[in-house]
Amino acid sequence: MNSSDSSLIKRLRPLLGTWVTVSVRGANPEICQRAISDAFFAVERVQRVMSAHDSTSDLGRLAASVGEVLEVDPWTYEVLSLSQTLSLLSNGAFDITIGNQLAQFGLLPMHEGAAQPSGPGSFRDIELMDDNRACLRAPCRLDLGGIAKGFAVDQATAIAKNTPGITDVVVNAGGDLRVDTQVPEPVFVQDPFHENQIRYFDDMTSGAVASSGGLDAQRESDWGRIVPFIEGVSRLLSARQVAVTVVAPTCTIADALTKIVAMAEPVLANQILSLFRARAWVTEA
Amino acid sequence: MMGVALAVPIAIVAHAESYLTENQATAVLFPGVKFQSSWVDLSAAQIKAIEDKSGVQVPTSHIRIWWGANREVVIVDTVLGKHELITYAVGLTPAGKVRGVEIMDYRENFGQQIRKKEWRNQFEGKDVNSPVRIDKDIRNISGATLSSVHVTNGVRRVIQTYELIR
Repeated sequence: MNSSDSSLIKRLRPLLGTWVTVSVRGANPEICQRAISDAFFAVERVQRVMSAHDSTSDLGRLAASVGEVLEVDPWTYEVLSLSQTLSLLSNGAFDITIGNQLAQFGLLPMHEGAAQPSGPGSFRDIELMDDNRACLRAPCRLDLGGIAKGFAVDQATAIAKNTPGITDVVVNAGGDLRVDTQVPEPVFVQDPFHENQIRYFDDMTSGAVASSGGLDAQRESDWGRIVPFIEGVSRLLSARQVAVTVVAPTCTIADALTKIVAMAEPVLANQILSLFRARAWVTEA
Repeated sequence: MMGVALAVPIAIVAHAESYLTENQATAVLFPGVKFQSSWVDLSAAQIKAIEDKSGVQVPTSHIRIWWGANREVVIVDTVLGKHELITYAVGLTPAGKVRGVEIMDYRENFGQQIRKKEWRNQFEGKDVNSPVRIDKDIRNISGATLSSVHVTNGVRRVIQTYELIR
């Protein structure tokens, strides 16, 4: 495409606790700005319904109403369904009911007032029913973490790309990025263990890249500096100091698979990667 | 592919990115609404009240405000992060609810170090045929999670500022 006939516009907002950039190329600036605004609305919707910090989000409501069947946002339902599939595939290494352990390690704030659920709940205690209804059968705290961020990136990309007149879209939420363009976009990856060193990764026209672990992800805790990979079955912090970058068709999958590669058995992780047509790069500290 | 220590010169790259002008920020926050700009000067007492309520230090008494035709408000503010200077616009409804936060300028002026040769490194032996376009494409970086907490604190301060001057 001839770039002189079109506009390239990029905007940046603080959302999902990080920076979200939406870049689009399209017929004219007005169309581009509208597409970007619509993309940000999608991210705001994900922030509203899938927040792990907010007691009024779908996750907060489910945790506060153990045993009750609640209707959730169709987007929440979609992400819950995918996360259940990933939990089954990974024999429980991937599990979104680790919110309580994250809070214990200081990686999620404690909910004010409410009693901290402390039961041995697992993904098997999440029940999904027809018509976007869900129920938590045992007390546990849900954290969709990066998978919700990846989903927000995918929705924002799709909404912007479906705007008539838009040809190229790149969305980046705190290092989870999705490309859907005609003009190839150079994509870089932050070296996970060397600050401010950035490596060229590839020129992409479609697909997603997500990274987890590394220096950026480390947090101070009572246990020293830790990387927030909590294995779903043992509920223990991963002993390996690793960083994982995954390339996949969608950002939701890419982000979720970074956790699976970090925590599941390597043979199983490889099978899951090929099932989702994804590739992973693992860096040890 | 990783962990290769290279003794190469370090380039200090100052990176600045402009997203929106003030006029564009008001237009995307409140499409179709006409805005007029003004400046407001806060008194010492007002500054103290804002700091008490928001828990955030007020860096300047000189406040840039755009008023919409129906009393919509856009306040332009600047925060200093760890390595960056960020100018942003907060859109508020007449009732003081946040409509949206748009970054206008994002400047990393504090010596972002990029080893030139490392830029040409690649994963798994892929070739880099196109030169690295730092200014244009630096944002397509996976794994670089920068905190937005400074802006989040700034927005808290802006909301309290509006409550005092509305």
